[in-house]
Amino acid sequence: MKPLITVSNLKMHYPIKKVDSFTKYDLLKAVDGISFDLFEGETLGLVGESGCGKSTTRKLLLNVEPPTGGEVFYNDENIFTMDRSSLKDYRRNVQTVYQDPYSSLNPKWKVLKLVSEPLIVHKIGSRKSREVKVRELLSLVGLREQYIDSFAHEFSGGQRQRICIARALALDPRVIIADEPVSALDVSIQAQVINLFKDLKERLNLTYLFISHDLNVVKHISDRVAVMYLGKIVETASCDDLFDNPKHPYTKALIKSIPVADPEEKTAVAALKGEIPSPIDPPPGCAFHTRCPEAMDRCREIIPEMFSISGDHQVSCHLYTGGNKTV
Amino acid sequence: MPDLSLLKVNNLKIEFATDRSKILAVDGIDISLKRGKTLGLVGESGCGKSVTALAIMGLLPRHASISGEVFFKERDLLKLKNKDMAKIRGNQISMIFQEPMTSLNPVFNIEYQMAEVFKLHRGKSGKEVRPEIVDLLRTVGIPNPERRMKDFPHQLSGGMRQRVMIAIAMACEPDILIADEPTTALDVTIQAQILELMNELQRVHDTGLLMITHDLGVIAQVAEKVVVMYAGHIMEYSGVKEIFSDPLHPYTRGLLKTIPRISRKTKRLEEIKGTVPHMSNVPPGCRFHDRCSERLARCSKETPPVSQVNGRTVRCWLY
Repeated sequence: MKPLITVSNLKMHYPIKKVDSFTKYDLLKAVDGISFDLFEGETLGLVGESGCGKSTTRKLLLNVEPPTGGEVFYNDENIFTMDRSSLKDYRRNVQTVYQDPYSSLNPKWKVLKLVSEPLIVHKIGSRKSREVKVRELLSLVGLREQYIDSFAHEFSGGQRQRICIARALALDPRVIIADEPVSALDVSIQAQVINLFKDLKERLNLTYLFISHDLNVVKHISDRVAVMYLGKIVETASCDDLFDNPKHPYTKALIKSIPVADPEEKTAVAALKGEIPSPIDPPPGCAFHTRCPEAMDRCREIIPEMFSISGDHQVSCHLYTGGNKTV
Repeated sequence: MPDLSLLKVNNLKIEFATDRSKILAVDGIDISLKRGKTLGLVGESGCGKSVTALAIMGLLPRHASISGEVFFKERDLLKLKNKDMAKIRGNQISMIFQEPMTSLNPVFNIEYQMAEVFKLHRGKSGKEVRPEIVDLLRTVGIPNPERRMKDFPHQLSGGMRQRVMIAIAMACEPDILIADEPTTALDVTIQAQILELMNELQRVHDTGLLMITHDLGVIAQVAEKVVVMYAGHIMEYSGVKEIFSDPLHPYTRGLLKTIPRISRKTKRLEEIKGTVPHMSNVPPGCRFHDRCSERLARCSKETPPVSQVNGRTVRCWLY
């Protein structure tokens, strides 16, 4: 199967002024050479702790700013070099839902304008046909059509997130990049929105890149999962494989750290010591070696490459260098 | 009355007057906390969890009207003068807030902010307490405390700041520690570290811990008793094992079903329909009735009383 979007060795290094110098810069390696494929009709979960580069990846995929290295292919074209009209087509097909539904809706606009804005920007339809479309979208995301004349502040968090989803769907995109879409919502509302994402995917044949720090949510919604640490992808696998049979010590620790909602099962132990190192001056070798319980000498010197363990299970760790090398 | 409870809250009501209406944020709750034990307070946003904590600490703004009793060591905290309350607050009862980023003062270094606690409650001055500060920072797991205490809050990461907050809260070895969503702003691997640390400190000092969170996973791991709140009411109050293995209230049952779990993969998550009511507009009768899957005819008219089922407290017409 041909991937819909191919990300190849994508890098984003931000220059940060050095504290003690006027002219020298440090490089903050927010995304440091990641590669993955997004296949049509799948949900790829992207997990990692704060500062690991999840959101920067989103920004680059939406072509908000040019990366410092690497390519993203859509229809065999690099989105960073494609011409204006193909870029417009790309942007029509790749839409996004943000984390905070409170700050991503203009408080002065009514729902009609909020949801039809993408249609106006892309000059689609007449005023009348746009209103019809907005009504369709509202019922699609489970909101009553009467709400078309309401302002964003009249809605609760879950309803606002539904408006954001309706807006993302306005242009009939193929891919939705959702950046922590449920983490600002209450638990009982989270379930509603996650179910909505699942339903929409089936009805509209969408492809999701689902970015989240919450492994429970990611496990529930994803077909495949990629785990990021300090700007790099350390493991990718099918969802079941990753959770049943994690390979990378970081993935193992991450899964172990989640408090289990069962008092009989005291599992949440601090599996990792220490904190995430700064991406300005990441540790040499494997970036995880400073916290890794299984670190070896070569981890401190050599950066591990991606190895394929079985099928689509790939891991970047020196423990598994016996596998077949990929890329 | 011989009561082993360290803290006992009876029929606490908190009302806020706004320009348009009065909002009853907490409507008559009773909880008690024993030494060395952990009480979990769960609920969604706006259910009155944090307001309850602030009322116990005596930190609510003046326009809030509070009634009921909060007994701490046979004294009603609500009747104390500000001056007396200030002696208890931060000394015998302390609190950790959710946002470690905003609860430290950005213009003072860590040493100064920690010395403040000792100055206020122990009457000790700057230089005397330095070894104590270093000790405290070491117990909460901050490496190189002699150097780190000269740092300002912005130089520390979120997890480090929360450790400093815990160190400040534990400085006077309080009898009660109130933790309001202490790990919500942190990453999972850091969350596990902080929970372990709090557990350790609680064991050493025999502190009563009131843990407020919306994360049922955290509750399952740390609490012995759990209070489930919804729209200002206690819906269910019992031991942690009973809550998770045999939830009585439909709301508790719903909450447990809605959370996605690693250990169990289902096609669709169960949902609780509707949204959390706004406190200015609470439904009549049982506050949960419009979202409840098991509602009876009387649920929408009469508020269910608090009833006891096998030593467990629940507010529902089903019992």
